[in-house]
Formats: sequence, C-alpha cells, structure tokens
Amino acid sequence: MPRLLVSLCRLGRCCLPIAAANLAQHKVRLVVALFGIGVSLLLLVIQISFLDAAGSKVTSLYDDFDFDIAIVSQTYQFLDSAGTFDRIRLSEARGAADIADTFALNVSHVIWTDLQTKRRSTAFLVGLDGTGGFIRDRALRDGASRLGDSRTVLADRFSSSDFGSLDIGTKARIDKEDVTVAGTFALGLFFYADGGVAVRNADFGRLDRRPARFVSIGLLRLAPGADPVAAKARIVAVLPNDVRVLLRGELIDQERAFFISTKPIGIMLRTGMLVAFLVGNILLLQALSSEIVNRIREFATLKAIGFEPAVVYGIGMSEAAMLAVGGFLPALLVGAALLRLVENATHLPTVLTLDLAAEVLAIALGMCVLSAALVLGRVRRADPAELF
Amino acid sequence: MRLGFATGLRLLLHARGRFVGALGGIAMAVAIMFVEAELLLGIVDSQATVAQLLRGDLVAMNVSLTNLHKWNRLDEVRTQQIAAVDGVAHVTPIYEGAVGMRNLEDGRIRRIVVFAFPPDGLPIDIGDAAEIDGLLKRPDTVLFDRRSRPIYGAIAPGGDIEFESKLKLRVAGFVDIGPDIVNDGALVMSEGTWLARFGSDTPIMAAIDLVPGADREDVRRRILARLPVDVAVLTPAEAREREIVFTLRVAPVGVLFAIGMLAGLIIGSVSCYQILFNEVIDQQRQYATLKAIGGSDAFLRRLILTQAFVLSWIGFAAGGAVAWFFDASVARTTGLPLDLSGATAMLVLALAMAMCAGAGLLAVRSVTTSDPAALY
Repeated sequence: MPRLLVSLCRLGRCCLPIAAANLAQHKVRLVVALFGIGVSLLLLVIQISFLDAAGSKVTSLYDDFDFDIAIVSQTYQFLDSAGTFDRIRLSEARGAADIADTFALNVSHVIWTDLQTKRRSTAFLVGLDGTGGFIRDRALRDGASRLGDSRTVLADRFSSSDFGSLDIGTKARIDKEDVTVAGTFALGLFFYADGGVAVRNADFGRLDRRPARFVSIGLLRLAPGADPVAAKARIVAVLPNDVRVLLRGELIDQERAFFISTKPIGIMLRTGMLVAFLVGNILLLQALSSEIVNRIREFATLKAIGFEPAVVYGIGMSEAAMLAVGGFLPALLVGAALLRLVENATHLPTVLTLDLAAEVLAIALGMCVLSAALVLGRVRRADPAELF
Repeated sequence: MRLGFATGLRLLLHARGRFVGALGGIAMAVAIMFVEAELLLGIVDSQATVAQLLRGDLVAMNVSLTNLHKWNRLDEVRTQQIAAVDGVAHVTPIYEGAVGMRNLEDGRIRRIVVFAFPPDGLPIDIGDAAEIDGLLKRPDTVLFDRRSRPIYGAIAPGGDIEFESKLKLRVAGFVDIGPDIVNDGALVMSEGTWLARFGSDTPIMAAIDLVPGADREDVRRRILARLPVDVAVLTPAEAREREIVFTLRVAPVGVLFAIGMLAGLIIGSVSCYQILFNEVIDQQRQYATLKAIGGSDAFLRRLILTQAFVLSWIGFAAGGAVAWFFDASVARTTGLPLDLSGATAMLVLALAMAMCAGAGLLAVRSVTTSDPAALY
C-alpha cells in the first residue's frame, strides 16, 4: 500500500507541473474553458439548491414540531389539502400504544385584512393545542405560551408585505373577527398563501367555523424507548380506516414527493433541475474534452518519445481535474452569493450546504474522468505517427 | 461568396465526430435557454389565468386588489355608480369565490374557484358567449372548466356536482379557463345562482363596456373623478401587465424562475461561445494554410461565419426539439399554458447566432493578424 502511494506521488510530481504548464500555454483559451465549466457548475448549484429548498420549505411546519407518528385523515393529500378527522382517534391511538403525549394541529385558509391599508390577503391559519411542549421552534413555542386571551394571534414575519405591520399589539382582521398580534414566528409558507397566522386550537374553530371535534393533523410522541414501527402497527390495527397513520419520516417524504411531483411549481422546479443536470453535464463534458482533444498531439508526442502510458494518462487526467476544480471554485463563490440573495428575497432556505458543494464537485470530477477517458482512449489506440 | 460557403461546410464536416460534438453542445445550450425561458413565461402567464381572459373596454376593481389572487371586493354600489357615468354602456359584475367540491369517485373534497356573473354579455373570454349565456339562464346550473386539473373526478353534462355543504347543482356544459399556479380548476355560474346558493357576496371586479365611439381615456377619467378613491380602473391589457409585474417583482416563485432563466441564458450563450471558439482554434492550421495560399481575411471570416451560422441553426432546431419535449411534458402534467413562443424562439436563435459568430470572429483574429508561417 505505501508503495502504491509512493508511486502515485511520483506520478503526481511528474504529471502536475506538465499539466499546469499545458493549461497555462494559451491564456485566453484557458479562461474561455474555465468560464464554460464554471457556468455549467453554477447552473447545477442553483437548480439543485432551488429544488432542495422548495422540498424543505414544504415540510418546514412539520420540522417545527417534535413527534414520532402522525395521524391524518384518509383524504389527506398534503398540508394545504389536509382534510379533517375526529379528535377521538387520538385518544384511541393513546390506548393502543405506549404514547407519551398527543398534539392536534389544525390548518386552514383565511383572509387577513390589514386595517391600515384595508388590503386583504390569503393567510395560512395554523391551530395549536395549548400544550406547547411539542413545538420545537423557539419563537413559536414562546409565542404560543403568550396566546392568552382569545383575540390574540401569532403572525409569520415572512408574510407578504401586504399584511402590514406585524409589531406586537397591531390590530388586524381575520375573516370578520378582530385580532391582535401577540408575537411573531418565521415560517414563510408562501407556496400555500400570502402569509401565515398561528392561533390556539380553542380559537381556531371560531375563526374557521369548524367544530372543535375535528382536527387536521394529529401528532403523537412515543414514550422514551418505544419502537415507532411497532407502535405504528398497533395503532393501525386499532383505528378505523378513515385515518392514515404515518411515521415522521414517511409524512415528510410523502409531503415532499407530493409537492414536487404534483404541484405545478414543484413540477417546474424539478424540470428546471433535470434540464440543468442534463445540459450541465453535457456542456461540462464538451468543455473538458475539447481541452484535452486540443492537446492530443502533445500526448502523442509524449507517447512516441517513450513516456509510460501512466504518465501520459496522468497528465491528461490532471489537466481535466485542474479544469474541473478551477471552474468549480468560482462557481461555488458566485453560487453562494447568488443563493444568499435569493434567500433574502424569497425566504426560501437556498443556502449552499456542504452536501450540495460536495455533490457538484463529485459531478465535476466525474465528468472530468469521463471526458479524459474518452479522449485519452484515442491516444492509446492510435499509432503516434498517425496523430500528426 | 459561394466558395466561402461550400468551403466552410466542408471544414465543418471534415471531422464528423467533432462536428456532432459541437452540434450536441450547441443544441444543449439552446435547450437550456428555451426551457428556462419557457418556465419563467409559464409562471408569469399563469399567475392568474383569469387576467388573460378579461373582456370589455375597462375593468374596475378595488384599489387594494394589488394582484388577482387577493380578495378585496368592489363595493357593490360602485358598479351602479360606474354605470351612471357618461359613455358607459354596460357594467357586468364578476364574482369570484372558492368552494369545496366533492370528487364523487374518491369522496375527497377539493378546492375549486367559482366565477359568477349575470348571464348577459360574457365578461371573460371562456367560450361561445351566446351559448354560455343561454346555459347560465337556467337556474341552479353550473359550467365546469374542462381544462381543470384532473382531480375532480369525471364530470359530464347532465350530471350533478356536489359541494362540501352537500348542495348539488346540475352541470349544464363546459367552459375553457385553465388552471393557474394557485387554482386547480374553476366553475362558472350565474350571479343569481351564486348569490342564492352560496350567500351574499360583492363582486371582485366589474367589466365595463363603453358606448360606441366613446373615448376610453375620457371615460376612465370621468369614472375616477366621480367615484371615491377606493376604485382602480384598468384596461384589460393593463390588468394583465400588472399580474406579470407582480409575479416578477414580488412573488417569490417569480424570483426563483427569473434567476433560473438568467442563468439559462448566460450558460447557453457562454457554451455557444466556447464551442465555436474551440472549433476555430482547432482548425487554425487550415486557416493559416488558406491564408498562405492567398485567401483574404474577408474570405476567412466568411468561412467562420458560415460555420457559426450552420452550427447555430442546426443546434437551434435540435435544441428546440429537446425543449419542446420538456415543455410539452410540463404542460401536460401541470395543465399550465406552456408553449414555445415566437418571441422566445427569436431571442434564443439570436443569442446562439451572435455568440457563435462573435466567438468565431474573435478566434480567427489570431490567424488574420499573424504571419501564416508562424502558425506551424
């Protein structure tokens, strides 16, 4: 093993300077190639991150809650079309498995009126049970404990500006009821409505004119040490088929899958990503391989004067790798800046994560190996003399 | 001239593999420009489908209705006040509401939008006006938007639609509206049915028809002067434009797709440039030879331009086909109006040709400015 490493190092010492000198020979050409590679990678960074961000945005409400199992209506499609079921199912589930606590979540659409401008916007109304223990998000949990009197609500800071001022104490109207803002949280569910409002479940029924018996989503937390899969099976066995029982992971996966495969925006984002992936890879391959094709005579010369094939390929691979990394770094910088701008403008979590950077780097290096192999195969097969 | 063209073609076809590679690259560049542009246009056009369909000379709405997915209503009395203004022939109120409709196949309740108006003079362009007016005159009937997303079950004329409240209404026929990014489907009913069956409501807009010969701007000024400041009066074209501006500037999804399109156009252009640049650099020695045997610089440039244009045309056709495939699949799955528009095609073709030609001319400079012998 150390021997292999040593010979690899020797190969690197021999190949890298030649590869670098080769690339540096034509400056303009190098810049054009790097630019082409860079924008291909930039496009990949942007589109992958948009799709990921939309996927995590549609489940951000669930991410704010601490639960192991969810119960939803049989007609549940996704958060924005949840249907309702009888609250009694939660008690029945409690009897069936080792459950520490249950929490009912209600969702609906209402109309929010800013009393200053009289602008009316759609709002995604979330109803929370009094026990705030299920809420992970600090702003939402602190706010929920402050929802004392029945006219107070929490408003989403990321709502559209048409919601007007959301300072504590601001008065507004939900449908025909007057309400006062008692706090804010940050969710930004703009795929579903212009903004968001959270209230206690006790007030949800009045605002949405829904009987308190019916809830949209039931969240269950298991007793410490209980096995979620076994608990789910026991709950399913007990409950009638007007509800569906999902593990946390199942709920989140189905939510993302529904948005991306069924809602128009999701489909369009996915298509954008697919096309970017396809085109980005092809253009990358094109840019890299034309760089190496241009050097084919140099490679042939090296081969003709007796260099080992390993060195010849090593140089080709090094060139391709340098180009890939050289295009990747600026693409990453520009991508990070651009994604930050988009995050500020849209409140979508479009950040450049380490995973994403690693994914794109892997694509870049993969394409560079592929293009080098395609081109260098010709050097291997050909008689050096033919290549002149 | 003809010699330039023929020689250019032969140069291009000399190395088949390379030619195909370059063509593939340009086709992909064109495809990405197309798809990203069409996605943005699709989003922009379908912010509110109903904006595309407004008829009449002017449209009045609440001044706070900053886009058509808001719910600010028009004060009822305003329609009558507008009708009394000189030059106004006819005012048609348009009601819009969202109701729960039961899919009779799976029992699920789906949200559907309702448009309602009096059955005399259709205010939105959704089919044959006389026929629709006739159908709407029958009490308790609805018309179903045949382009709704297929989530409402099978709907047939003569059958019933059941609402969340268990109310049933008879389907009398179909209209053409189309879903948008918020709404999945639509029903149309008469003002009378809507108000009688779903409770009191005030219109969301009013379509205004002018008496023949009346000047639109004059009438608009008179309406605005006569009415309180809570009313905005727009032409249908202005209403459409406002939705587009709203999507691009304010709506987060507009921002997402606008950036996608910009990135697509830049990457497409850069790739065309890169491909042509390499094409020419690789054939430097051939050009040097041509120059050495007496070819003028203009002749060399003609050779390059021929190759640039042939590559960009064929690449455009191939890339357009790829884009068409993607657009058609998105249009089918989303129901949104996504079709390749002439303006986008022109833009993409112009960008591809300009980038190819520019790159080629830049690259050939190294031949035209140097001593041919030095190039060997």
